[in-house]
Amino acid sequence: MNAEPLVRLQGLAKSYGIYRAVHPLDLDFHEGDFLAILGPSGCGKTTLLKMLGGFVEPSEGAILIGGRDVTRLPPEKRPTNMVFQGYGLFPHMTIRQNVGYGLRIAGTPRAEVDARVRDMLALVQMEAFADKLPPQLSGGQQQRIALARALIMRPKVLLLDEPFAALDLKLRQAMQEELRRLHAEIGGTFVFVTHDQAEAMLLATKVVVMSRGKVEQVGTPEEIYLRPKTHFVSTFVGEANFLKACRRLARVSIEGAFAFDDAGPDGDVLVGVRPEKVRLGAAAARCDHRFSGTVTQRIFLGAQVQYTVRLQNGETFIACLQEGDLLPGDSIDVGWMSADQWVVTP
Amino acid sequence: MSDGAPLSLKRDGALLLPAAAVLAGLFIGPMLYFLVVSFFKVSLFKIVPGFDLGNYAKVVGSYGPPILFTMGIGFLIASVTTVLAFIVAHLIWTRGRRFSGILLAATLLTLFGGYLVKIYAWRTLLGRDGIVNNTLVGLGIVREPIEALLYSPVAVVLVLVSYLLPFAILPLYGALRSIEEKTIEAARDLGASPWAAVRDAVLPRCVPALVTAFALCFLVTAGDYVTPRMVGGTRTMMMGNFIESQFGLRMNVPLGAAMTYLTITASIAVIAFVWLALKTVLRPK
Ligand SMILES: Nc1ncnc2c1ncn2[C@@H]1O[C@H](COP(=O)(O)OP(=O)(O)OP(=O)(O)O)[C@@H](O)[C@H]1O
Ligand SMILES: [Mg+2]
Repeated sequence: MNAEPLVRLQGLAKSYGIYRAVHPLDLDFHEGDFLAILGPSGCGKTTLLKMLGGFVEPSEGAILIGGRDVTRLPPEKRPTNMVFQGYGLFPHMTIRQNVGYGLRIAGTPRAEVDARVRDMLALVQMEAFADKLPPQLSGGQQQRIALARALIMRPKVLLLDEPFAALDLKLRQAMQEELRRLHAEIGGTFVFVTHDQAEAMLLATKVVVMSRGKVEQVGTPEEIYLRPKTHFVSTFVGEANFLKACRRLARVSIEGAFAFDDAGPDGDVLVGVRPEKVRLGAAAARCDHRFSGTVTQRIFLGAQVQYTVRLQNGETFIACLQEGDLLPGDSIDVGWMSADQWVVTP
Repeated sequence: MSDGAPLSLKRDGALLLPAAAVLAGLFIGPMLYFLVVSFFKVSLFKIVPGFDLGNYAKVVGSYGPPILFTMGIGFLIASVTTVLAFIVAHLIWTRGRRFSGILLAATLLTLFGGYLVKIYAWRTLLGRDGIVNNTLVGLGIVREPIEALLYSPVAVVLVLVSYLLPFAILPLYGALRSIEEKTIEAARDLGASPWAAVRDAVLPRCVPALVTAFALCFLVTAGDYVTPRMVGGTRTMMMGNFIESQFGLRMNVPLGAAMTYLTITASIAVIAFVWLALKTVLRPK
């Protein structure tokens, strides 16, 4: 994309005393992006989001939104709105008053507030609850109201902190679908924090993977999944098989097996392959890379069958197949295509 | 409880009996007794049973100004104390961080000094030879010590505000503690200034605690007769003083009881007014 980015983070960092919660990071994203900040607990996701919203003051760096430096602006002066983890609804206000709060503070005329609140409640399908109080609502309903309360402000950037973490699986899926629908319907730029890689893959157009306060990789869900750049990303966004290899003069080789070209510094590396990209038996014959091995375990997972295979060089591979009647002890060929592998440093 | 279920006041009302008995014996009983007595008469220092509204007529006729003064100074003291207490509690809550426990304990520590100690402390501060007057004279700001510092309504206000402050802080701090920080962040996020966030997300949720703090301070003040006597001077007479003298020196218990009931009624009216006013002003729009 060559358009001017909507949000630009320059060397943004946060320290608590000597503890670095977020290491300096640079990140751009654009109008219409649906951005996921993905990482394990305590990696600094919330800190990053709160810096965007104005609740945590950065120790270093700058935040530009629409070309304007907002780094030192308080939350009320920023073109962002936040859906808080645990919602943060005003328990003494009715749903209508909750959703209309931001507009009333801005001095919007009564009639317009009422109309926009009505539209917003219709959008999240909560019209029937307008005069109830938040504690009378279920978790999923409160979630919708928190969403409506932020969206009614038509923020340039909507921030969501683990929006679905507190919901059970079915409701979470329904709400994910709803958020996707809202993004498609009203557009805008969404940034959401999650530690659930499936959720990030499902919703986001762009994923930022974080680990211990550092950005590991930024990319589309496909890039993150199929071309992970680090060992951490490889394992955090899905299952991965690794083969020990060595790179010398931009050529990666696995002893006694095969070699291929791959630019990068010399040294030990790992070649990664996703289990569902591994082929077994006859299918392996047409593959770019092949090993022979022995099946050691077969697990039936319903939609898939998962095999554990010991390769000739002693390493273990996992393969997920649609079906299969291999049994432990069977000798089998194992293979995969060059396009399905990636190389990371251990 | 053979079924092993936990005790429940709802299920087994009899559990309330001991508490109810204490309340009835020590509080409701005497109050009812004095309510009845307030309609009796006194003749020749003897209480004569009957139903007579004379005591009330007499109080309304002769004690209007002191009742109004008592309500006024009570309102002033309770308002000032509640506002200060909210500010202190809010500071402890927002800025206290890990020291909030210590800060709260420190405010409560002042209660150990007791009531009379505080009064004497203020007397040493405000008296003719007190620290305040000595400083003022020493700095040449005034030529003569200011007599009116002590023995005036101002001294009563100072003493009672300082005495009541910790009592008012407690319920307010409790109410603040139950407010989730993210509701305030949400208000800011939606465009509220720091002050507007307190007004819209914090104060409405403190109404019961504000009324509790106000009522506590107001009732202590309205019933107080020690402070006015010790630091109020001869001209600061509050209803507590008049009631005390009817029960004591004058031995006119029925009149004293009538004064008590009118003071209580007026107090309830003031507190109800404050409660309604707070609710109305802080109602979400
Ligand atoms: N106010 C603070 N003072 C000191 N350290 C803090 C503060 N807030 C966060 N941290 C630390 O910064 C790190 C990142 O915290 P953050 O809340 O951003 O994590 P997170 O990625 O959102 O985790 P989770 O998924 O559990 O919510 C944590 O190690 C946390 O202990
Ligand atoms: Mg978090």
